[in-house]
Amino acid sequence: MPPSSVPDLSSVARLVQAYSAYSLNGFVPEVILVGGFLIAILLDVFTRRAKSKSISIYFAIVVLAMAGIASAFQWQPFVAGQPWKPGHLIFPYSQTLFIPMVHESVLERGYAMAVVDNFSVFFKLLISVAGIFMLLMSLASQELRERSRRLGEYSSLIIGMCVGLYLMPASLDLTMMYISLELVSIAGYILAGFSRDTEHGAEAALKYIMFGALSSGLMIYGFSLFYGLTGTTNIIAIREVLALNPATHTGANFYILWIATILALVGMGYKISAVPFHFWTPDVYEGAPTPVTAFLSVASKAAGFGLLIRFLIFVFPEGTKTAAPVLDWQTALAIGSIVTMTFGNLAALLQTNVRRILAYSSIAHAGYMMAALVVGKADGTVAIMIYLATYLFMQIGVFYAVMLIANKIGSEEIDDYRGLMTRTPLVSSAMVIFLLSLTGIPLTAGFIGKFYLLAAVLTPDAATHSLPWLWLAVGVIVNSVISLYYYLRVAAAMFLKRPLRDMALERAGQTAPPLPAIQFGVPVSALLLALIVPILVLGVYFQPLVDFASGVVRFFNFDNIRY
Amino acid sequence: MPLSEIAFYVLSAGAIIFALLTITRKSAVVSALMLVMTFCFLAGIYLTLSAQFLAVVQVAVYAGAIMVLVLFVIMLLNLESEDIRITSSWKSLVGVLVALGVLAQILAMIFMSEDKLPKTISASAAVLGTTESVGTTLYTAYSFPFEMASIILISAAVGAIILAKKRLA
Amino acid sequence: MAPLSHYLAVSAILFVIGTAGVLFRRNAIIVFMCVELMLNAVNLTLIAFSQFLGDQTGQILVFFVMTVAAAEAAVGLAIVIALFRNRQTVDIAKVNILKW
Repeated sequence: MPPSSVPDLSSVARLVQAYSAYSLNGFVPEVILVGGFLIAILLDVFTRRAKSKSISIYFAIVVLAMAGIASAFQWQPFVAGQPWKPGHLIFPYSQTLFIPMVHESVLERGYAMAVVDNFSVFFKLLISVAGIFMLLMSLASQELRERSRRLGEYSSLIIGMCVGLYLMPASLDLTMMYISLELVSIAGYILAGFSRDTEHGAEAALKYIMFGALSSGLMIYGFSLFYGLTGTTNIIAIREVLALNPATHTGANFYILWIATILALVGMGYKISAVPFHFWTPDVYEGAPTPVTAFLSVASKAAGFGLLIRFLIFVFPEGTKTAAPVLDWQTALAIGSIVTMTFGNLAALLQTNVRRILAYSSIAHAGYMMAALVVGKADGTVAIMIYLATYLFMQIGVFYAVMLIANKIGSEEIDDYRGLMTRTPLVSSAMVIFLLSLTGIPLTAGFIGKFYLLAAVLTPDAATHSLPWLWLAVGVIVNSVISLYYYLRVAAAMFLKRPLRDMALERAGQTAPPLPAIQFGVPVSALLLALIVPILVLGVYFQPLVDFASGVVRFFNFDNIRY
Repeated sequence: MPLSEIAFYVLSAGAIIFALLTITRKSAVVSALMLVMTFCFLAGIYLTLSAQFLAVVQVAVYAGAIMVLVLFVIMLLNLESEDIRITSSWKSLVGVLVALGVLAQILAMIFMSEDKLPKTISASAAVLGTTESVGTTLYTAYSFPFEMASIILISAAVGAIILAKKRLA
Repeated sequence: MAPLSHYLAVSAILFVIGTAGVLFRRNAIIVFMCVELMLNAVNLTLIAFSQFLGDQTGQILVFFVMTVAAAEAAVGLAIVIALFRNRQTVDIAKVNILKW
């Protein structure tokens, strides 16, 4: 790399001025969130005397809704008169936030810290919806009611976490990736330990932060090797240097590139809880407050995938693979995908706690989505986005149902779920719908996610007309069948099995009086319906979602990504 | 051998020795003090690279703020010395072998690619390491991540208080 | 001037020492200290690359790593205190209500 001189302030000022018009537009959702974050901390002080303890949660819902709406305005519709073609610059459709200090020539091409494009807008909307559902869920949470004096901090941390989540899929620079990922992690550690007075809370937080700190340390070491190899931290500049300068990936540097990539993937794999970086998942999902678990399993995972897609497809696109054989990351990822889904499903079979079953099943779902990531390109990216959108409703829904049941019966053990159908038909049926959707049964949203995912994995190779990833698709199907067993075990306990207490009483020759019915209020049931409806609707009427996701990747030129 | 080179090897040896002491001492307090020494030696190494700003920040933030916090917590909890014996001997043996293997691999790669690495420190290095120069870059091109870093710190401050605060009666 | 490879070698050694500490020590506070050691090794790599390549980005990244390290240490130690209140121990091996 040619040495750059001391930064020349005048040229920086010129560029900041030139891009500031774009920059201010691009910032709006993040500015709303940061403002809300600061107000939420203070709000708690002023509303301490108020009757309702949940004011700050309502405030956070408003902030997230506003940020979501502001992101929706950043959506750039595809203009019919301008067909997308290879080599078409996306810059007119994207807005640059801040320009890092690279060389003058690079500056003029507008390399940036973060980008506002339809891809990041999609994830911002997804995260806002997940956040709003999660906050509504928090209102009904028993665990959080016990810590109601701390709800101001709770909502401010969720807003702060959303800032990081918004920026993760938008990052174009390793610096920005690291900072946004750490913002999400640190807010996550605190939220996981939020119910610290219960024994599980502090322990879950400790395990979360220890694995998190270790994997982020490994990741930043990988980033430092990338920086050393290419002399830049911008992922698009890294790609260009790798393509233009063969010395960066030949000889010994090839192995350094491998090590750097694997180390970088450790940090991201930790966020999506891919095997073998999953150790924290079951404990944190079991120990954290249920709304936090739901949020981590949806929003944190979605943003992790957004970051992963950006990183892999931007740094090692197919296009450079032919020009300069860089890395066969796809095979490595395919193996990781199979291992992750198989491990998640097999471990879930052995669990007796419903929350742990769901934790392991979320590892399996990460494995499915990694399969689509292997394919990369437009098909794979669209499939992941559709999958994430459907996964959002079913995952939050199933945790919501678990939380409602735990609020009343105080247990998450599968044996205590026996006979719940007669006691609370609404929540039990809702739970079954969520579980069927997680399995991927037709007429539910989960089926659509799986269908597009398999279609992407089974895309024939253009040159050879063979199916390069057939074995991966078979793996996904076999694993879906395995998952059916443990999902249906939960459903069967609720619908078919009789409560253990009744059986014990009958053995003693007594007749068992029926267990009392469980009642839920109207708002609680309404939220449950709000989660079921999208699952059933998306199960049959999914075209808008598919169009939406395809509209996102239309702006990616997978052979020549440039901003 | 010029003075800066001698300084580098002396400081590196010091940093590695104290790092090894950090992970092998039984008492947490001793470990923490050894780590402070490692950080100070590292600050010296930064100076041989003429990264003055980061050398000072290294001492102030790591050796100063973070390690003082760690020492406070250790003394607050009044910990007994940990039993250093690791669960089983074969496990630790495998672990040590893996660690050495990884290290050998990384070192081999670094030295194999030595011919491709820049031979000398850049001519602009002395200027790049000054507070003025780092500050200029930080507050212009990197102002966006800088602002986000401040949110991390606020979250951490809020979080540390709610996690560590005594339970209210 | 010592060559860049020697700086990278020192950094790799420190990184592996730190990782070994994280994996083998059972005292949660020492584990956090070992993570700090790992991050310091990364910082050395970044500064060495930055000064040898004549590009400032590496030093900026070090600044952010330090910020994050401070935040992580504060939160981590707070969690250790919360755990100690419940369990009177900071030994990771004894913290196993939730199975691994």
